[in-house]
Amino acid sequence: MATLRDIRTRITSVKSTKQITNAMKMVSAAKLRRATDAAVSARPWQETLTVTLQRIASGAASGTGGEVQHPLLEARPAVRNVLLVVISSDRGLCGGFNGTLLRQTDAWIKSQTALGRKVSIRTFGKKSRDFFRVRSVAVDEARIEVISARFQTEVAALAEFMVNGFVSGEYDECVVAYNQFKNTLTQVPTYEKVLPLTIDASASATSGAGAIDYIYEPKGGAILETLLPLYLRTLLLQCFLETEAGEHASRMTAMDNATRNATDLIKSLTLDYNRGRQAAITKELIEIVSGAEAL
Amino acid sequence: MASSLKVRIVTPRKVAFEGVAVSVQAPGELGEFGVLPGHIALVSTLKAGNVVVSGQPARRFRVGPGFAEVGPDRVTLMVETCEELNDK
Repeated sequence: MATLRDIRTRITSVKSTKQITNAMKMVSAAKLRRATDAAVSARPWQETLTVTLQRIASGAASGTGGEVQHPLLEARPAVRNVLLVVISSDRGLCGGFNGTLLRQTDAWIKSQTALGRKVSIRTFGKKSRDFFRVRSVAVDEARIEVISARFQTEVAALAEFMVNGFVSGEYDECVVAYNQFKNTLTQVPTYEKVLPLTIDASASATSGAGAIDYIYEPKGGAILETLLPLYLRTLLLQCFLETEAGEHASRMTAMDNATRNATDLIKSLTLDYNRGRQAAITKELIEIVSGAEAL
Repeated sequence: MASSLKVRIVTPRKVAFEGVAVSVQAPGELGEFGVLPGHIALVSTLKAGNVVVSGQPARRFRVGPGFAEVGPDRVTLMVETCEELNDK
């Protein structure tokens, strides 16, 4: 049976834990707002770019000389080497955010290997680096502490690496594993095949724009040379932004739960403590009374 | 035929300008070009330079590299940076 002093110590320690989790929750909430703002304000760019590419694709598909042909768009008949980019967070204490993604990724890698494909891995974030290190899985490059201010440069470097690797034939496919940000409560581990790029030409036909016969300045191929890498960078940036938002959302939820648990624990501990105190007082009273009676 | 252009200038961070204009001038990679309503569909890369959106009122922007998508009744400029110039 715990003594009153033990219970008191526990209450104090739970209280300070609660303060910490509560503070972390508030910090995450503030950061989440900033991260979602960033993701939302990047959306018009992404949408406009996608629509434009779709229009170009459908314009070319409708017969004016197949101008949408580019090495980055060509799917390889046999996929042997896959580049997998895993984006996780740097810090823990955010619920199942990293755990779920990494566990599934591990299974994904196994399934690819079973198909006879060689998977090369590059990771972003400390959690994914540590995960593969513990399992002694070889990782080509692990980057850590990628903060939002550096997303643009990181994405540019990664995109260039992917393009070079893909064009030179070193990789037949590039896949990004990240947590897709559905809403504050749900983040879905997602595997997005970014290379070869896929542009859905049929989408713009259904959205009413129809096929447009564009003049290209400079001529066809050259413009895709600029547009496609831009599109790739946009896709990658989106993955980073969603991971960032998802991490904070996940941490906020986890810390909210922790704070609530701490509150419950303090309540029940306080009850125990008061009960114990009452028992001690009663015992003392009985001792005094029976002592007096004995006289 | 459309008598005005829907103009959008989009950067990765935000939509810098959205509005209606009668003509747009943009710095294409192969030379400056102007767009009036009814322009033929065009996709062009842009280099850094100035964009003039003539409407009510006329507005001038300094843009970074990017590209433009032009239709009969719209102009979409997708540029890496965009800053409004405030001198007349």
